[in-house]
Amino acid sequence: MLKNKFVLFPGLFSLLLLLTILSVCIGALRIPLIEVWHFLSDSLGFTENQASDLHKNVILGLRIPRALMAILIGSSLAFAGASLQGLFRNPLADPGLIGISSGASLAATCVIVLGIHIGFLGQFFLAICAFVGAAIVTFIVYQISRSGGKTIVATMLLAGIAMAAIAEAGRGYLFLVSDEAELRNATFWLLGSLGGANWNNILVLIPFTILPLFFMYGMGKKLNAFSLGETDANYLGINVKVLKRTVVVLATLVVGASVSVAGMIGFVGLIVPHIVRLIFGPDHRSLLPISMILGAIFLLGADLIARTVLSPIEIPIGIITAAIGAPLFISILLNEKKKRRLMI
Amino acid sequence: MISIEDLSYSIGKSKILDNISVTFEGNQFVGLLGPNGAGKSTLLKLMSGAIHSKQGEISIEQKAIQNWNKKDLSQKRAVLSQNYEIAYNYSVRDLVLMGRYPFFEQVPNSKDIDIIERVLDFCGLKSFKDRSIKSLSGGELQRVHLARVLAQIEEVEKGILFLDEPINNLDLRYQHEIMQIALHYSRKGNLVVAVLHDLNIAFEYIDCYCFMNKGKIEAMNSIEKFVSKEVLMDIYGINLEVQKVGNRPSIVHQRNSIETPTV
Repeated sequence: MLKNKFVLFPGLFSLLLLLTILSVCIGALRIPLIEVWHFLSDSLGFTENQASDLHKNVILGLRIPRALMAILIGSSLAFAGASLQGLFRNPLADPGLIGISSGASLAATCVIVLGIHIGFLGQFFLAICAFVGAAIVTFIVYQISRSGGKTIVATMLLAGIAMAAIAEAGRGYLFLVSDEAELRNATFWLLGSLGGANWNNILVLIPFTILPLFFMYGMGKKLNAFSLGETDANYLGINVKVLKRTVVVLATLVVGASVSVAGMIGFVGLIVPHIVRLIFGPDHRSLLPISMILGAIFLLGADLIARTVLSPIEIPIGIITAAIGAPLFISILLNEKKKRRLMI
Repeated sequence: MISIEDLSYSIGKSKILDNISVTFEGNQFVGLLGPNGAGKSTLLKLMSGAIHSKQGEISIEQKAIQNWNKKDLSQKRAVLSQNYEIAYNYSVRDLVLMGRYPFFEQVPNSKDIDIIERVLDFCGLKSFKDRSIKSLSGGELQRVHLARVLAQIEEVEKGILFLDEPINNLDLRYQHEIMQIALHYSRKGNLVVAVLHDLNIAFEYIDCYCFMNKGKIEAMNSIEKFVSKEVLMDIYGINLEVQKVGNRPSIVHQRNSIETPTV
């Protein structure tokens, strides 16, 4: 474990910037770095050189919103995973695995079928409804999996499967009966995709995804205390009720917003905090912010892979995250089995 | 320091505590003793503020416990619970630092660091600082948790330390180490109240015994006033001899003889 975790922040931010520039340059249309530079300096108004109109349009209309979306969603999902894992006191509490994303996507599908998702306000409404769906599932799974102040892991995962199955059934039915064009694009919802990136979506995402930044300070310490158990966190002066509410509302808000614009991108909330814990230790004071940065980096990277491997065909990003995440999930399971902690 | 008046507590229809009135003063180590289901842990939880009762009153320094705010209470008393199941691999230092959480916002100041170092040293954990808690034995881990709760009330004037069966499942050496640390803390003007099962090890360290049975306090006195054989018979339902070792009592039990059948 690293002693001083915050020395790595500049490094992580540089990596994030590098990947952002790469994602702006790379794609079906390759944009030379110099053109990006021209575009940037022109927008800031200190050069005569201009990028070509085509490049300009691609950079501004497609690449930048897409990179921003990857950053916002990646950091959101990682934050949601890390904070929920603190709340459930278990490293397997991923928004995808415990059915939260499914709840969000069912709610979002309902809104689309009702046809009230058009335009910016409609998108915003869609995100709010996804949040409500996510919150309901979180509440139910939390209640089901708690017993005597502890989370029963097996119950939590099974409750998640059950909730996901209910949501999938509801959504499947809606797919069938609806003739909305968007719903036909089922892979978007099932596997997640950043293909729908546009400035409208970014504007919808931003208010939700910057919320954690305001609450994160102080929350890390409380989640650390919470890992002793509810009663003992209470003995340390932590207002457990407020903490639980804050975590559930924040995590489901960001998951809801993410699902409403990009569908269900799985495993980010599982992989990223897990890696951060391995490298930097489990202290939530550093886990939350570092997970957010690493989540952004991870999803940007995954999106680059999704766009380039079979170019010009785009692989849904959820396939990439699942391909990395599922084996890791199994390795965590095996590890837990070794410690005989899984079935408590 | 703590005074309890007419305290009762029920879960559903079963009465766990039945009209208890008692006072605990500072600068002493009190043993809450008695059989399983006597209500010891419940009384401890009520005094810690983890649960609340509608009947009766608990006051800490003349102030009713429900009028203490969470933060002030966390800067007054610390509680060592029975079982901890921690999913994450904190270092010993991380865990002990949690004891200081009531005192700093985000970053511990130099005083917090000082206290942690002192407490780690005092509990014999100096060389363990950077170990992960998953690598510790049960006895070591229990000492780490004790260090954590001590860090919480180390600098507190007239602090209160509650210990819920602190020496269960530990080997003899660790049992005595933990009792010694608790005794030492009580000698600095603080109150220590511990739920204990092993009477002999309790009698070696505590200043005052408080025997509970069926939700009531059956016998309470300073350790020099020996508990009688009759009271023990009444509480535990078995025949126990009270002997004198030094100026402290010691309990001896004679097993029943088993008649060997004659061939």
